[in-house]
Amino acid sequence: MTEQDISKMDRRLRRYLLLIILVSIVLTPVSNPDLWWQLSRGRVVASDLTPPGPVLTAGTSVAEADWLGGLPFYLTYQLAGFSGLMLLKFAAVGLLFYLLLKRYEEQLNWTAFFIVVLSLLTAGSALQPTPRLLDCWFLFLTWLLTERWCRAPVGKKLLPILLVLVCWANCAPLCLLGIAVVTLVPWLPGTKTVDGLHFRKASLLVCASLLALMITPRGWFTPYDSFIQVLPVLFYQGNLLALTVWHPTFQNGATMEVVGWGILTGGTALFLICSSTGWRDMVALLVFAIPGWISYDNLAPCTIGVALLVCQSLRAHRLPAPFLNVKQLIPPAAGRVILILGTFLLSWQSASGNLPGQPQRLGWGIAPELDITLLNQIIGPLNYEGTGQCMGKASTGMLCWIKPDRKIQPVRTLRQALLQGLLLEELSLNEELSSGWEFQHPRADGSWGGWWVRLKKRNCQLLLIPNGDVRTIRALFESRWQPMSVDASVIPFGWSGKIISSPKIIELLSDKVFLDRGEWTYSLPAPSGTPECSDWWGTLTGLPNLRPALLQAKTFRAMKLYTAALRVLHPLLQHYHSPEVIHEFQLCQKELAYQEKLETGASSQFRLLAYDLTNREADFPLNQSGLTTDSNRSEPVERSTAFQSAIQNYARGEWATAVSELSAADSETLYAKAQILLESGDTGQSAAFFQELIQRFPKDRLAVPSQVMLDSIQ
Amino acid sequence: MSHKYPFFPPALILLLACLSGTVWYLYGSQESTPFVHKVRSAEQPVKMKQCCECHEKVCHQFSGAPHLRTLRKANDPDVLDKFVGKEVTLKENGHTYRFYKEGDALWVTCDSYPNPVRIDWIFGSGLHALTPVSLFPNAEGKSELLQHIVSWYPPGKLGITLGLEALAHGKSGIRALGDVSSHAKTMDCFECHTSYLGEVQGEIQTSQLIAGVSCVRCHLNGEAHIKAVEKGEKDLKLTRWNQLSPLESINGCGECHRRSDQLEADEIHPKNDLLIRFAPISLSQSPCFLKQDELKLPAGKSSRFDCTTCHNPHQQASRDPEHYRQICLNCHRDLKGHAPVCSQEAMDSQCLKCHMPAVNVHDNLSFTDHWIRIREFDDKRFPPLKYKSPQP
Repeated sequence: MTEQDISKMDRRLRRYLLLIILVSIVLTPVSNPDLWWQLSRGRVVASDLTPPGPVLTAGTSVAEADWLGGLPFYLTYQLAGFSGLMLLKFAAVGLLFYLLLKRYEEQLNWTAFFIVVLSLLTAGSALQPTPRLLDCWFLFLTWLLTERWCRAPVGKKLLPILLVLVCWANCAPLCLLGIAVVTLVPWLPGTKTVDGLHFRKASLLVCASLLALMITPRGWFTPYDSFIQVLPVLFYQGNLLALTVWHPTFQNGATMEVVGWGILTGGTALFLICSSTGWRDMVALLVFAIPGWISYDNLAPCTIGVALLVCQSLRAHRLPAPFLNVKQLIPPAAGRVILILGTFLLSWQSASGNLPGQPQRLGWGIAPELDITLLNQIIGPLNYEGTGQCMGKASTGMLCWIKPDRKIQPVRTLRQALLQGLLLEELSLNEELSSGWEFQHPRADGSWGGWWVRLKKRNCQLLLIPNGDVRTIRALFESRWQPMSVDASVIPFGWSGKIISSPKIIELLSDKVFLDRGEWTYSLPAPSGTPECSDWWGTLTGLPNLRPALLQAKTFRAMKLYTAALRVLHPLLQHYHSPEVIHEFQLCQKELAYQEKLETGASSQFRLLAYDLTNREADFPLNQSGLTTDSNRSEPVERSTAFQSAIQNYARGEWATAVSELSAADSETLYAKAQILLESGDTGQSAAFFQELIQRFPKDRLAVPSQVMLDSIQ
Repeated sequence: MSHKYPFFPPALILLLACLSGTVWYLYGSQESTPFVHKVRSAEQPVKMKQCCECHEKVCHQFSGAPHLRTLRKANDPDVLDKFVGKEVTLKENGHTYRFYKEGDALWVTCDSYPNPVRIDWIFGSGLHALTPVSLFPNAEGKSELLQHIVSWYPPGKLGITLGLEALAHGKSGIRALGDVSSHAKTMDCFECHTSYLGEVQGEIQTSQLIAGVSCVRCHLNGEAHIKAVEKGEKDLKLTRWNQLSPLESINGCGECHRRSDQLEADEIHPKNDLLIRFAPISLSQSPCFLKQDELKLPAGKSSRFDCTTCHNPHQQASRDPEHYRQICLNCHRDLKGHAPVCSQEAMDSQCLKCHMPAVNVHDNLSFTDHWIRIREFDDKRFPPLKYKSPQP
């Protein structure tokens, strides 16, 4: 084979491999929590042709610069639903990375492929049908057009740059990165420039670009707004931003994004130093790396920026000798085999949702966490007037989408709060809701905390809490905000006592009793997913997506519906004994054991053993919890081998075996049997064993909880 | 130098960026969380003895105030004296409770709870009641409390704790002993009964705790005040309650004694018995409070009306009706610009008897109704109560 043939074959191989990785990373259900908010914004623009921010929220009067950001996605959704959004996502991301590869592969070969794949892994999860995707595209286009202008710095070549920047400023929030591009690209060593490119012309380009960014409804504040979003750390305390999407990227832990971003920026820095490229490339690297590291929200466009920069630098400077020596150590054929195997392994991990920080599996449609069907059924028909307090972007968007009449609105989104200087106001309210800080008390900084009065002042009629947010759901358990659903992707909470919410709250009370005490069993979702979310990985492997089931178990536990939570966990324990499942099971056992300890002075042997079998050392020890009692009066109880074996089977999800092994007739065994039967959904048998315990051991301390259980079953 | 060492400029730039990033991160990580309750902040508050160095007279006065005794350890000799050896059978649930001392601690047994339980703290000054409380970690290691169902009432009677009457239906289990509060509610309770809880990471550390309502609990910026005094600044930065608006002032008390904005509009009704226990809410509805700005009193006289008009928070509230009548007469006089005089009784009669009567809320306890009004007009002024709130 000639060198030309090999080169052709390599190019084809690179493209196939890129396609495989693209499919595994990009063909996952739309999961960005911003989706419904962007669709709502697009709907307002399409219907009213006005900036949507002030229309959709009650506490914002200022128009946003990126007012058109939701329109392309809304139009796509109207045209082809979620399939349209999936197609848009795949086409936009695929084309972007293909063009990136194509642009540099001739000179850089496999190095370009490596950089593109690394960038895809780093930015992949952020590349969803939201304005962040537009940020990436506009940055790419601005870079290309600036390079083109540098080759012939004339007005005709300037116009497309300005047009792209105008579109960028009106569609996506991080448009200030465009100014970084037009400022830096002309001076990078890798950029081909005409001899006549002077500082004056380059300055004119920057000034014209800055003016172009101001052609938005926000006018000359646009660059400032964008600056706040690119470098929020200059405006807010780090510990405040840590609670938002603007947290430092490294705070995510060792996820694929952080590792990829670390390799990309670290590798680039190393290369620039080793190649002695001068200070300009390093400054350019820092301009993209710093916003990417200090704010997770910037990661995707900054990744594109660094990828373009490193490709450009590699094109201009040769790889240093040590790099080339390492390259020569591996024979080309073996290198290709390793690459192919590595790509398949990576794609397999990505498609199965096993890459750290990227839990979405190969599929089509919308992630279950964004499904609004159930929420719409509950709050859709209710004619709320006022505001809704939404925890998280997803719930804010859902409220706006479900209530197009805008009689009930969120007060402001976190992004609006960031721009208005009200981030503390919004975050503190959410944080205090989650921590159960109900009434007014002075905070350490002299302000007054507590959610009760503030929600009243906002005329708040509805709280929307994401399913699985155990902390907030538990914090509201004893408050007058009560849930109107237990299984919607976002749980609506209404004010008990308000005539509009009370019927739904009361309706749910009987449902909750049924869930915890009724005769039912939980079936895992079909591996093929739902009509809104086709789970291709599940269809291929027969493994259902466990995340919704786990979230449901968490929500049930947060609502103290422990039996219901354990019923959901039962099939998971049987078939998918993952650490998350075991931990959730253990938390249920621990909380139940604690309740028994409070009620009877000691936990049952059944709960204690089930907890001990799944306990993690890092957890707070159960024996240190509860009232300080005179323990000398409690008698130690021996656990028989059969009893221990039964509980081991119970902890493994083999509940039928566990019941059959519990043959003794002492109070602990009867209690364990009754509880396992109840959790299995056999309430009739369970009641019979509770009854037997009470009749045979009326003075036993377990007779008290047994009577309580019996009363609630009957 | 950059020609000789071409790698130097990029390396230097990177080094500077990394250094400044590290400094920024380390500096940023030391910032305090902005949503922390003041009583739970990392910063230790000013101790009362520091205040007493300058404010000796007020301190002496305050040392006898009930506010300072709102939380005491259960092994306090005065507490032990009131509980140890006492036994009561509650008529509400029929259970018998016996208090005894073992080791250095106060314990209680209940005939329907298997084990004796240790009592750790006592809520209340003893002026109205003393309620035993057990503090313990929950399953997550966070503090929760058990408010016991039996309280001590003056002059020395044990009875059901006010507000726990509904528990009397619980014949067994923990409800026979009292009410377990969630972690959030536990913190709320302790925040009102202490001046500083310490930097609580879930479990209340009693070693850091400053029991009772001392100076800094109400004079929030005590730390800034001391610094200002030490520096000899003109602005002494002390929270002066008379400089707050009347509503801000009663809401300050309402932080623990409840505020009117914590209730729904239809819950604020004279027939809502709950309001009798929550003086700031009642006071905020009184014409005396609502119309104080309408009066035009002669120079030197103030029509300002808030909790501190009648009660000096630094000492025990007066039990002398004449003291309060004199305060009423400050505004209610048959003079121009003053509030009207009583049409039913002579002005030397006791105002409180009709306009702020004591109401029995419990077998052993009565509270003064702070909703100052002419009660005969209630039926005309207020529509029938539609909704009676649960206890906030």
